[in-house]
Amino acid sequence: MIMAYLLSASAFLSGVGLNVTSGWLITMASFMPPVLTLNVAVVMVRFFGISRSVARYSERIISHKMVFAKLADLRSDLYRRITANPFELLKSNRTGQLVKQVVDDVERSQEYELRVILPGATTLVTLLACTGLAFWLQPKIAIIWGIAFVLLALLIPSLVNRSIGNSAKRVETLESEYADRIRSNSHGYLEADNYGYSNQLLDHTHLLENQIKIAEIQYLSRVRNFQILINLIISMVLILTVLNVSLPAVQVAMLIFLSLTGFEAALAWYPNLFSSGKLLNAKNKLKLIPEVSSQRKTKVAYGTIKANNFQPYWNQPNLTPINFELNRGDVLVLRGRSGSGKTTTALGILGFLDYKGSLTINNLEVREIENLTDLVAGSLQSGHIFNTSLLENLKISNPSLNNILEVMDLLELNQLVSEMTNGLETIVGQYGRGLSGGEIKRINLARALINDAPILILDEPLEHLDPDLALRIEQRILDRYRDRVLIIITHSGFSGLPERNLEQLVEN
Amino acid sequence: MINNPLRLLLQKGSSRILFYVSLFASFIWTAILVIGAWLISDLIIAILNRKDITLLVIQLAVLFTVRSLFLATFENWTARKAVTIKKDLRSEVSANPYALRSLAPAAISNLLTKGLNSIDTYYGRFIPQLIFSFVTPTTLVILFFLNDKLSALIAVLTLPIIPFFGFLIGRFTADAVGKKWQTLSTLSSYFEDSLRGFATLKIFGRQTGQARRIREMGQQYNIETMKVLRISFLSSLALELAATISVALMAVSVGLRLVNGSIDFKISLIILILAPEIYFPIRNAASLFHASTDGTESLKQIELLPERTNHKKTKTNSLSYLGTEILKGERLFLIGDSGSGKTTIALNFVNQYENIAWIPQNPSLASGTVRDQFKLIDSEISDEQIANHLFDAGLTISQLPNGLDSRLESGNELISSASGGQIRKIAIARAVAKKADFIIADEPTADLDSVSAIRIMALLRQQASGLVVITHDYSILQTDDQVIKVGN
Repeated sequence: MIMAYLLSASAFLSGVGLNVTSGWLITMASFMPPVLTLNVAVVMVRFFGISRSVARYSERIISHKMVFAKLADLRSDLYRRITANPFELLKSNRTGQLVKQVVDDVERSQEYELRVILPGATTLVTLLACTGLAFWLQPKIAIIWGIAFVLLALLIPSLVNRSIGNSAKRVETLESEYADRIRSNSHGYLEADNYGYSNQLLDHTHLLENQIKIAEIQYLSRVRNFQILINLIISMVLILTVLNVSLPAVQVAMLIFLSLTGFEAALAWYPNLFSSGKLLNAKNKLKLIPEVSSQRKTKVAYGTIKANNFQPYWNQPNLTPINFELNRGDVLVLRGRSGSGKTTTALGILGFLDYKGSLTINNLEVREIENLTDLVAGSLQSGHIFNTSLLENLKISNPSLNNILEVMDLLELNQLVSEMTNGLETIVGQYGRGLSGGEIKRINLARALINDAPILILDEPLEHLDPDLALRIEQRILDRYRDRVLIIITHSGFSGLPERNLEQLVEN
Repeated sequence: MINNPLRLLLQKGSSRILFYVSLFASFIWTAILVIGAWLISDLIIAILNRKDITLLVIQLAVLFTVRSLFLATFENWTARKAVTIKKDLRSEVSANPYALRSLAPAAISNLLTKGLNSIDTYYGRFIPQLIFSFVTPTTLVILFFLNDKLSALIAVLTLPIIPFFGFLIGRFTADAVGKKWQTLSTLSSYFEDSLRGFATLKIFGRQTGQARRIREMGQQYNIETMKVLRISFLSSLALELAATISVALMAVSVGLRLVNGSIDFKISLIILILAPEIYFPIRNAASLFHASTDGTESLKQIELLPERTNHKKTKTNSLSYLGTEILKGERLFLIGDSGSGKTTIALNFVNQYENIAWIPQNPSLASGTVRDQFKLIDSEISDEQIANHLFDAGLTISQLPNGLDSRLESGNELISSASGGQIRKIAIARAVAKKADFIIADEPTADLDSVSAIRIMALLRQQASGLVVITHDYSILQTDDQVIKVGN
């Protein structure tokens, strides 16, 4: 990074050198010296001209490459951190916002390095060098430059951060609210239209659009005020230089040209600094995502799964406690109507949620088991079909796919797959679009059934299937998975097996 | 490179004023530059000759103040204009349901926020700079010609190099920018997919693998971005080299002629001060061109969105499907596997007729409370009536966490304060409360247990509207129902 700072500063200094030596050249020329002296100046002018462009090019390549290398790492680290704390992710339905955070904020915080930190350092170096040059020529003029340096490189940037930063933050917040709104409108507009509230929906949306506009205009006028201030300071340097400069003529010309070009770096940096509020905001938001250390410390071999007054919960326990003790070959049906906490129970046993009471495998509490995914697998009621091939979707559960044919038979998926354009390689569109509810259900179920975990949790496995097919699959699952612990969470089917009822505690 | 943005600019009525104001401003700006150069060279000469400079300094101070105010005000004005254009485009798209549905939710919201923000650079900076880059160099070259023909000649010979380079490079970047956009939206959808499906990944212990995969995708994206940037950096290197070498050429020629005494000192100073300003606006426009391509890209995407059609929905006395017609009070069941186009049938009805209440397969309720869902249809409706509607659909107030005040966020996928089954029940109650002539119910019993399903079907059968039920569930059929099989 230091390399980048130096290259970048040398690019601007070459620019300053170009103009100052040009001034020197012309003033010298007006005294008509020997051509040889002039040639030196001519060569210098050319040298500065070329070195400036080359330095800037190399600096840009180096700094961007370095920053981008960091990008990828930061993203995956972020994903790890976000998913290490699944509670928030599961609970918030704002997946869209998280996506925006990961993609945008990462880029922005890196942009902050590129567009604010790097040119900031460049400005600092350039202004210092100019002050040094002024000191070498005429110390008196260096005082003017010293003051300009303090103002432009130190004082005003901190003022900018405070005043414009807030403005930019407001724009940012409104925009992310707007992105959410658009996402939800895209999904729900037709329904809103059908039920006659699309106008309210639009009014809210337009209101947000207006608020963004107002916030942006406020931000812009603050930017304008600072711009005027900065330009006035720069003009003052020139005027003070002119008023205080003394002969010889060559120095006069050089100092005046210095004050004409010495602020190029600062002028290039400030617009970025103005817009840095958004970038900084992003950078800070990323820091807020906590690093979660897992409590899951202990590995354990398979053993009896035992629930003792087990109550999984989101905010506070509100399900009736359940009790069971199951070994290989046991099947338990947890039966409940809609809203009775089926999904909560499934997520609880799969280790996503905290719980009251106790749930142990081989006498170790589930929340402490490190290798839980080796022991418990299953399918959720709303399992996700990834936007990739069918095969990749299945491989998530079992990369070897050793028993896939058997499971496809069991679920009668063979015909479905053979009808697909590329068989198992067929891309199943976004959110599994292009598949029917029943097909999604069966693929989801297949994914759970090809897994080798000894304990299988199936949340509403047969929903959306036609009754005959459902019955056939039910029989086959019970037959084929006799060597496992099966916990089936459902509202229908699977009768004649040990059952517990799921119920929500009614608050009084 | 030059033709296209200007045409776009002149097409949009709201942005035409941007063109004229920028044109006007570019002349003022050039005048300020020339007067400034004049004053500075006068100053240098005055200092060299030990003359009184007070008046010149005051003039220069006034000019600089005017320059800062002018520049800041003009830039502020164009930026505000860009903000206004952006807002207008947003309002246009957000009011157009066809456009909203034509892309994935993440893609459309990305386009309207991040995509449209690149218009700030395009309208706010690139277009004005483009106009400056015509006016300033032309005016300066004419001035040079009047005073020093050789410098004017150098400028005229070197100037075309810059747009030529720009044109060449622009052609190559266009493809690369398109690609960058593609990877960006792939990356964004990939993240969305990973995060949405993260529970599934975690069940099978795959979330760590996914983090690695995300890193790989990110690296791929970086490679693409670097490709675009390298072209962009290289092009600005070329432009800058061309500009600096031209300035150096002029400076050296002026300097050498000064030695001969064949050029006036003041003229040569003015030329030296103004020479970079000939190339500066073109260089600036060229460097902004790369930033503004994002802007044109999103404008293009916006133009590709389907237009709003003004087709008016009508009232109907009957709904018919494949020759079978039902009137108010009658019932029709369309049965078949999903994927057989059942949902499209429903959408066709919904888009055509206004006196329909639609229960989609995945209902999305309005953001707000449960009460709001009903108040939005009928502002007069009482809490008691709402409770009755909900009860008919099998939902008692006590089952909701905060009663009628329980909040719902629309577009929710996995978990919210209400479960999937509860949302469906509310949607069904809402459809009945609408008292439309027809109800179209798409898989009304999905995610419901058998008790709730029976209750829902009883409710739908007994209400007075005509009813079209689209389902795969044979168990809800009764012997006297009109049934049509959909698909093969």
